[in-house]
Amino acid sequence: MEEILIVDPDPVHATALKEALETADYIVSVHRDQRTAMQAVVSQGIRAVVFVSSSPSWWRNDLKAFCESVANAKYEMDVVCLLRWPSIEPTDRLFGDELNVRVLHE
Amino acid sequence: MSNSGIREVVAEIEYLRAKRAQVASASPHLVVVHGAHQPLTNCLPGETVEQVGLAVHSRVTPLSLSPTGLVFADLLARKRPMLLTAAQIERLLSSDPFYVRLGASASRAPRPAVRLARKSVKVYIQRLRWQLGKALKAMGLSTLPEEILVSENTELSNVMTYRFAISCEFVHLNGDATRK
Repeated sequence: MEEILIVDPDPVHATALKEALETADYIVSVHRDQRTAMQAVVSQGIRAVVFVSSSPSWWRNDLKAFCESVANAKYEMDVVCLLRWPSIEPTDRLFGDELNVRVLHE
Repeated sequence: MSNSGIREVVAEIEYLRAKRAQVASASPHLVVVHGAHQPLTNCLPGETVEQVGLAVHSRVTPLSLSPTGLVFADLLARKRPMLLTAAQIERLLSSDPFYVRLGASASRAPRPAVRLARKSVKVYIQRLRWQLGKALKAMGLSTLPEEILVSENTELSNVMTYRFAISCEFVHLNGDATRK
């Protein structure tokens, strides 16, 4: 089974997401802050990350910092960014494309 | 969190996993691009070595190699599947007409023939593997560069041979850089 890491500051939301992914047969670990998530990515050989943000003002900086910090991970990693507000315009997805990250809205 | 949101995240993760598996199961091959190509000929002396890249399906990742590194990779690709020692590589670079006349058909001034001392071969092998490793990682492949550029011992303990263990494709560009 493949291991997935969730970075989500909201524990209730993270639990719902974790349960959904576990139902789909993934091993899921949850980190509330980016720093511990970065360490886990480098040390555990994670292949996919779900990065969740509730902050329209800061998510770009946070996502970019996260992607830069895990760029030297052993394996190329898939990152899905889940933004917890409805999509208003395509700029969010375009920003994700620049980082090779799939951006979804809730 | 909405159910549709959950489904979308799970579907995206599943898609990315399947895509990774598809790429990982593919075999990479080397693509060498020659320039200053004359019509109806292939790999003739006078051509240039423009680029070397690693390809999976239709996606080519160029290797960042110096001019000498490009020629070095070209030599291993052209002589494949021969096993080459450092001494043979040194001799071929100074005697094979393709390398002696490298770039002679190009409109720009031909560059001088590549000279590579036997003792430098190990360094170029390491550099080439480093670039192959970067390309493999970028493509999401788990193959090691040592599995692509293979070193083998000879019966003499201090003599190694080198070869590419993957297929190599040569692409020729005309003077006006049209892909042939």
